[in-house]
Amino acid sequence: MIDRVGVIGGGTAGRGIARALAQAGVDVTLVEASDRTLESTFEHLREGMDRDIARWSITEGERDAVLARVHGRVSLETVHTLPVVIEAIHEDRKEKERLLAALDRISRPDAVFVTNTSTLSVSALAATLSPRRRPWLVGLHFLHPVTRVAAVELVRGHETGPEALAAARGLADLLGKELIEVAEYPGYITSRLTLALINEAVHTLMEGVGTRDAIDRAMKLRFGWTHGPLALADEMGLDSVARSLESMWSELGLPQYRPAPLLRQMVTRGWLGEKSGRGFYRYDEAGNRLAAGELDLERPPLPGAEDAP
Amino acid sequence: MKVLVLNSGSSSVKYQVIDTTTGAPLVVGLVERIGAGGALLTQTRTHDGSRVRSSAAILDHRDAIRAILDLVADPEQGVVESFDEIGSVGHRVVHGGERFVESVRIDETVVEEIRESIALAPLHNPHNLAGILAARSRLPEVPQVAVFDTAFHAEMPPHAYHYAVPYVLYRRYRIRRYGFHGTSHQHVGHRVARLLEREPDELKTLSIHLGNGASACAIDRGRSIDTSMGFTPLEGLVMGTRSGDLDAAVILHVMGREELRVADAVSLLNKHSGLQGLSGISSDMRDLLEEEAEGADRARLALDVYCYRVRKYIGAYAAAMGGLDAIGFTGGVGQNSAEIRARCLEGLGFLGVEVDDDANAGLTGGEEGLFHSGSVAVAAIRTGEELVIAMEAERLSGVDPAGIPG
Repeated sequence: MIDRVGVIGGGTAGRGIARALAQAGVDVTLVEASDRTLESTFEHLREGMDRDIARWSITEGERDAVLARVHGRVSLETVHTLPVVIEAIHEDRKEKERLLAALDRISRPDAVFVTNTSTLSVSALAATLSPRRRPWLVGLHFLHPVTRVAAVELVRGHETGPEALAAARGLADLLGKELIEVAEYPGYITSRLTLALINEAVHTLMEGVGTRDAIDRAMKLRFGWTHGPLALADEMGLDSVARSLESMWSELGLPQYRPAPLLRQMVTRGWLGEKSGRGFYRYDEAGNRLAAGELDLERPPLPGAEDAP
Repeated sequence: MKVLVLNSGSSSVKYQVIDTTTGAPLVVGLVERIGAGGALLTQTRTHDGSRVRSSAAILDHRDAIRAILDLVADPEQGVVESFDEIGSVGHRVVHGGERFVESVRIDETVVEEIRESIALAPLHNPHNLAGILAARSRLPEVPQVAVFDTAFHAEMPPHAYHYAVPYVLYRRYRIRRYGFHGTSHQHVGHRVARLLEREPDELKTLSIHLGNGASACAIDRGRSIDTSMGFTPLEGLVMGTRSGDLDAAVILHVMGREELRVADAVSLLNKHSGLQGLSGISSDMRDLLEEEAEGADRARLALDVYCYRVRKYIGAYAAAMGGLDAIGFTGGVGQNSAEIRARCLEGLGFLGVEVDDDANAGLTGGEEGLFHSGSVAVAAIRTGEELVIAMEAERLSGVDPAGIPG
C-alpha cells in the first residue's frame, strides 16, 4: 500500500500527478524550485480544480481534501524518507540526470524512483545513478490530463528491478489506470503518434489547408475526440510540445518531428497555450477557452511583428 | 450481546455500540474527514450524555477503526472494559448484488465476493470493504457480519427489477434494479406494524426514507415488491445532491454539449444535482426551508420538485400493491420535518391519506408516532438501520456456547 509519495516538479505533469495521487488518498510532498514557483504551482492546482468544479467533475470538498494532502516544499531533502519519488520536471536530459543524481545521494536505500519521461531512455537515465540504485528506477509516462486519462505507459530500463516494477503497478492500481507496457524507444506509443499529429496539424494550418477550427473540428468528428490536435497542443503547452519534438527529432532523425516554424515562432513570442492565455486559442485568467473567432494566426505571425496579445 | 455497528463511508465512519438485549445504543459516534489533516471524532455516551470531541490525524479506515475502538474502551468515556465484551461487529454494506440476498457472516470468501461487487457500487462498496478489513485486522477473534442495503429488495419480482433495455446487458453486467436503504425500509415496515398493533404481513406499507439519500419502498405484506432506487442509489426520489429519476437522454445530450466525460457526468448527477443543483443554495433541507420562508424562488422550486416526486411515488406504489394501509417516514428529514411530510402528502385524500396537523407538528425531534386522520395510517419512524444491523449481527454470530452473555 503506497500512502506517501514525493513528486518533483510542479509543472503541468507534476501537478496532475500530485492531484491524481491526492484524490486517491495519498499524502503527496510536491517539490518545486523556489517559493515563487511553488506558489504559482498551487495557484494553478487550485484553478484547475475550480474549473473542474464548474464543470461538475469534482466538488469543493474534494478540492479541499486534495489541497490538504498535497504538501508544497522547496527543498529536495524533504523527500529523503519517502518510499516512492516521482520526478516530473522538464523533458531535459541534463536536468533529469542532475536531479536523479541528487535523489541518489539523499534517498533511503529502498526508495523507488519513477521518471515521468515521454522521450528519454530510462536505461540512460539509470546510468547516472550509483550501480546498486539502478534497479530502483522505472519509467511511468503519465498522459495529460493525468486526472482523466485512464492509461499510463510503463517503461522498464535494462536494469529495472522487481521492486520498482511492483511500485509502478501499485501506483497504476491506486490511480485506477491501465498500464500499457512499452519498449524503451523514443516517444513510446502515445507521444510518438501525438507529436507527429500535432506537428502535422501545425503544418496544415501554416500551409493554409484549413483554418484552426476546421482542423480541430475535422479531427474531433472523425475520431470522436474531445480535443482537436491544436487545442490539445495548447493544453499540453506549446513550449513542451516544441521541446518534445526537438528531442524526438534528435533521437529519431525523422523529419515529421522537426518542429513546424509556426510552432517555434509562437513559443518565441511567449504564446504557450492555455497557461499563457494564448496559443492557437485564447484563454481567460482561469484557463477557460474564450469563444473568439479565428485568430490572426490564420496568417503566420511574422518574426518581429508587434502583436499585443 | 454488545454489537459494534460500523457504517464506513468514503471519508467518514459512523458507529454505534448497541446492546441487543435492550436494543438501545450505548454510544453513538462519528469519525469525519478521514484522510484530511485534522479528522474529527465525536462520541456521545447514551446513559449519561457525556460527549467527546477530538481532533486527530486519521489517514485511513484502519486509523479510524483504531481510534473508535480506543474511545469505545476508554476508561473515562467508554462503554466496555475490554474488547472481549464486543460480541460481534455488524457492517453496513451498500451493494450485495445478486449474490447476497441476506446478511452473512464474513469470511475470506465473503470478503472476496464483496471485493468483486465493487464494479456494481464503485462509490460505496470500496469504503465498506475498507471498514471490514480494518475491523477484521483489529478484532480478529470477533465474529463479523455484513448487512446489505440491497438484501431486503432481493425478492422484488422481475417485472419490477428489469429495465426495458437489451436483455443481454442483464446477462453480461447484471444491469437491473437492486434498490437500497433495505435495512431502513425493513425497519419502518416493522415499526409501523408495531405502532398499529398489527403484524407486518397483514399490511400494505409504503416506507419513505428521506435523508441525504432518499428512497421509497412498497412493502406488500412484509416484502419489498418495488423500490425507487435502482441499479445505483441515483434513481427515484430527488435527493440532497442526486438527481433521482431523469430521462437518460438528458445526460447524453449534456455530455455532448459540454464535452463531458463519463466521470464528469457521474459526478454531475451524484454530487451536483438534486436539491443542491436545483436550488443553487444548499443540499440541506433546513437551509432550504429557511430560504424559502424568506422568499427564495429557487429554494421553493427545489422543495416543490422534491415533494411532488415523493407524492408521485406514493400513488405509483399504492397502485403496485393494489391498496395502501400505512405510510412510514424515516431518515433525518422524514422523521424530523413535519412540513416536508405534510407537503409530500398533500392532495392524497382520494387514497384515504389525511394528515392530523397537530400530531404531525409534534413529531419533530426524533419521536415516533402516528399523525393521520384518514383511513391510511401515517407515521414518523426513527431511523433504525443500526439496530437492524446489530440484531442481524447477533443472530449470525451465534450464541456463546458457554451461555455467558457478551
